[in-house]
Amino acid sequence: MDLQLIRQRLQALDPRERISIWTMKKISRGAVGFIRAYLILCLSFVVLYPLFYMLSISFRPNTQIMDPSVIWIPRTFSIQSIVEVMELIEFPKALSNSVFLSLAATLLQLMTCSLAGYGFARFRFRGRNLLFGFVLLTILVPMQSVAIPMYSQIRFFDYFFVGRLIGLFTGEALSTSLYNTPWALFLPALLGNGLRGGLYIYVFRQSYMGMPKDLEDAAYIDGCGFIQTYTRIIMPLARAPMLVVFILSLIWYWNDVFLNNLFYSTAETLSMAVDGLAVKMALSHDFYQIFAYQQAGCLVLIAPVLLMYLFLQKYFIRSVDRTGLK
Amino acid sequence: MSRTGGRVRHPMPYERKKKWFGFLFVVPWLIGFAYFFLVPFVSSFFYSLYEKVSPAQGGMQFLGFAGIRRYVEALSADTPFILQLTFTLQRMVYQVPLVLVFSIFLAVILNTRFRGRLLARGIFFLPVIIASGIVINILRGDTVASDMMAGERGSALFQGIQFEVLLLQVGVPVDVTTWLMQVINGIFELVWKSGVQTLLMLSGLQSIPHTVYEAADIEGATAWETFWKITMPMASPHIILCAFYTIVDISTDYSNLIILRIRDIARNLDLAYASVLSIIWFAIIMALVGLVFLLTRRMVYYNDDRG
Repeated sequence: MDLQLIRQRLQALDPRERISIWTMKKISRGAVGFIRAYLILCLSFVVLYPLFYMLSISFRPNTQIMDPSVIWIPRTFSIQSIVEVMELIEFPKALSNSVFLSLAATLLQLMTCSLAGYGFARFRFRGRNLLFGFVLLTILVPMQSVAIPMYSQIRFFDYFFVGRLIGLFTGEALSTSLYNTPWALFLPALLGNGLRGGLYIYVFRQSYMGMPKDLEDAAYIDGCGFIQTYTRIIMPLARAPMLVVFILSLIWYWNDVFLNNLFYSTAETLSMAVDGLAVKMALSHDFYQIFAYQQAGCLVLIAPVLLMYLFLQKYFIRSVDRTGLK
Repeated sequence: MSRTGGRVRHPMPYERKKKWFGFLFVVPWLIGFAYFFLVPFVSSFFYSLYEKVSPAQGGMQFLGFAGIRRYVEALSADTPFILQLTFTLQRMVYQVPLVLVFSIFLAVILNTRFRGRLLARGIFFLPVIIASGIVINILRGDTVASDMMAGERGSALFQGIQFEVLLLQVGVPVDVTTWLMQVINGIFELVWKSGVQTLLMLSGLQSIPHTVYEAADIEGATAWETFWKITMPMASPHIILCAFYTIVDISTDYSNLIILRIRDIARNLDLAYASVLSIIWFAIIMALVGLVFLLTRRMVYYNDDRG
């Protein structure tokens, strides 16, 4: 701030006015701070509302769920709903399925997307702009609109057209079904076309473009190849975008039911199990219980990612600053 | 290149090598794109040209070429679709600017220095965790929860119905009032939809160099002027990026009426018609994005020579 200017002015003024300038400055600063704190508190409440709501419902005993005199904090705490829901969705199995599928898919996607992002950011090859246009296209097209043909690609997987090519000679196209195998999720992820892959390529490209070129040039002069430069120089420097993409991708895979339903509907992941809760409980007439179970199910579903986020939050927020998406 | 000494391997010139390697980096994605996007995308278009498409042994079976007849049908005779289309587009027209304004506002607040800034930033990313996927569906489908939320909105924010009556009595037209109430009641959705956008905006604000602000400060610019003359132009590429993201996010949302309808039709195995609707919807999204791009092209300021 222009503190010196203020000081100069203050010396020229008489004591009474000096006080008034200081107090005005203080008051306006205090007012801004107060309004800001108030706004942030209010909006935080809106953001946290569903979480509070889930917590509040999940920890109530069944008798207090519809009790209008219970506001937010239940009179007695009970973890009955949570325990029952965990049994119903076979929590340990569902959790391990979820962790395995979303973590593996995320790591595969991270690898290819960062490679592609680097290629788009640093190299000038023929058709680069066209291909990058295609990346943007994949972001724009809703997945639901290509879901059916994509399913048929997975169901009749022909080894990247090789099977079809053989089919031209033998009369019968060679194909295998990846449906209901983990590969149905992993293969698109490995090839950078998993859940929101285009977005991650974009993120990587932008942050690589913001990195100084000098380091790479130095590496080339010292005799590093392109791939070595990438693994030794670029990847360690790209920790920030990697973390951002990792967290986003993991969360989206974790909460996803669309891809799972389409390609791997036998996988009992947490999100699938919670999604199927309504069907499982269709025969139950205990409305309160269904209600409590759904909230508890949501809580159980997001708790692992939430915990992970809480641990990584500090690095994540800093990384977002550093990613410098331009 | 001389071949006199048997095998003399000339190393590829650096520049040419660089081109090839660039391509190499992109190749894994390119294969995936061709196989898992381009082929489905094109075949989706083919599906839409037929009367009936059904899964058969070893592939798809096409029956009866229809050409663009079904497109015409969808846009002229399918009343529910047209209604859903207008409704969704109407919502988009006010939701996109609102999400943008909100995320800019939030990002500017979160970008100032105050105690607990890191915590606040952490909180405002939570919608991405809470409101993505099925959690939001359950929360939405949960009638009691939505009633409670409606009650919360009403009592805490604007006194619900009384506010509407007040507006009407003051003389605000009925249309405007209902629209305004819709927006106010949608504040939960608005906040939940702007998690990623706030993040993008925040990183955009962070990338503005401090020196510009310092210069403005020395020249005696007020905070208001600084915001409009420095923050907004410098952040304009991010604003546009957020606009695109919001359009795409809203139009591909699982709760989007058109997406739901496409899903239902596809479940009833009328794959051809589902493709017709999704191609139309995609064309509309593309047109919207193109429109936004054209309208804002002049306003966006790029602070580098990349263009």
